Amino acid sequence: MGLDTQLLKGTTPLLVLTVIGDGELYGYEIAQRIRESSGGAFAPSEGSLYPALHRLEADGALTAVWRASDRGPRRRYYRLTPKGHSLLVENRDRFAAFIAGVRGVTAGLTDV
Amino acid sequence: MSDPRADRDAYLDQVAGRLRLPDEEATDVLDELRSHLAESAAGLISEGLTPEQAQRESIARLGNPGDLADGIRTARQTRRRLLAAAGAGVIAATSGLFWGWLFAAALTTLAGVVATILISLGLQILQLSSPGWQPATDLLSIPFALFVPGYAAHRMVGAISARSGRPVTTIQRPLALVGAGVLAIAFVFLVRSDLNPVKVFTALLIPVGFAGGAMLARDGSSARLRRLPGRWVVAIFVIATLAITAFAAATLEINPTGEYTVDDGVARIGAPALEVLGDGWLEQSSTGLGFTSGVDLTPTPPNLLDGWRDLRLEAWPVVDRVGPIDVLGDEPAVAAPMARDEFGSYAAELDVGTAKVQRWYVIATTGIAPNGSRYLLTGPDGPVPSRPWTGTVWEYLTTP
Repeated sequence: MGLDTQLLKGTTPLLVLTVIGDGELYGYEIAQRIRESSGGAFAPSEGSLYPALHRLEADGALTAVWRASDRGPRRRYYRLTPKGHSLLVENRDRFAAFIAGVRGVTAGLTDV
Repeated sequence: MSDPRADRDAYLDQVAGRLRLPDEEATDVLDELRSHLAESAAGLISEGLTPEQAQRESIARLGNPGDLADGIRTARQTRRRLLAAAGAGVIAATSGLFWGWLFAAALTTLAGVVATILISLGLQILQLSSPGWQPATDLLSIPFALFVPGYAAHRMVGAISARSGRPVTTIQRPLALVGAGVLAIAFVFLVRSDLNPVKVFTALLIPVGFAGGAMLARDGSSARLRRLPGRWVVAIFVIATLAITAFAAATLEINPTGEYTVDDGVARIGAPALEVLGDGWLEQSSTGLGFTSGVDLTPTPPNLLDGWRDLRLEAWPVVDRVGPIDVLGDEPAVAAPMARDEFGSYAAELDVGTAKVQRWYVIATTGIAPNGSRYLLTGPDGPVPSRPWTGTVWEYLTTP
């Protein structure tokens, strides 16, 4: 099932922060993880992934380092900063509240 | 069949064209995207796609290159970056002032060399006895009025664009308008200085130079100055050459005809008084021949001027400050009566006044002899200039 682009765009930072978690991932790997862990339901446009990564980095939520790759060009690995961890918790709570709200409303609609 | 690598490079070139980030950051972004495309293509090949299909698909997944570049650039536009852009703009403008000055100085120096050669060859480019060339030195400031603010604005636009990641076209017009406006207010309404038509023209050129420099900036990752239109450089070079020729000729006081006659001027001021004075003579001391002239006459013997009346210190307008003295008109522009002091000397001072266009005068003393005719006693000396007109450009333009 395809998801609305705007909805997906709004959740991309949360998805990015979540899949990186305590690890260190590069752009393509992040996109793959999101796709795989959502069972293919979330396939963020790779074109929107990089602006999201760079915005999070500019906001201080992510830090990036270059590392050599044995399979081609060097890779840029992203890691959460303490601010990124806080942002992840905050976004996760906010999203949970949002989902709960939506669920409450849609459940009510189903009853009708 | 297309070359996968060429497709990828073409895509990255399009991203680079829209990225407008400092070189180092742009290189990092492009390297990251190149790495992504390589990884993505490798993954798709392992799923069974051909290298061409895999490259095409990986490019398609990244989407429109312009949108991607805009997205990344916008994501990196933080307040800190905008402040850095403003700071970079100020620094670039400061260096632009220096480079603009240097360019204008080089232009005028080159023009000076050409002018000196022309003068040494005896070529009089300007007719020195004609009025109007006097502000030649002021003409030399025209290249500076254009290039100094022009370079500053040009480099400022480039630096702000490169640092902020915004296209030059979104920066240059507002900067040109605001900068030219501020300069116009400053140089037209606020700055007070000695003015003449050339200086007024030069002051008005300063905001024009700034706006022109800003509008000549083109998109690019660096703040290099693009080629200036050749015709402007040539025109300014010619103006500078003519100005320096006139200036040099005036400084050298070259008299093209080899003559220096006062006959015509003296005839109009009054006949020489030597025969009337007989065996006596007049000793003249001048208290400065600047904007205000004063003269002190001491007759020998002291009764030499007895019977004379209406002794005057007169200022006669002349065509030019060098060359043959040619007084204008049949009356002095300004005259002051000479009063006799207790020691028998005659003294007077006069002020030739202020003029919007600088005028020149010769100073003479005259008097009416017992025979009823006016005679030239001393002079003509000088020439002396009118006092410069001081004020703002606006006052200059609106004062009759």
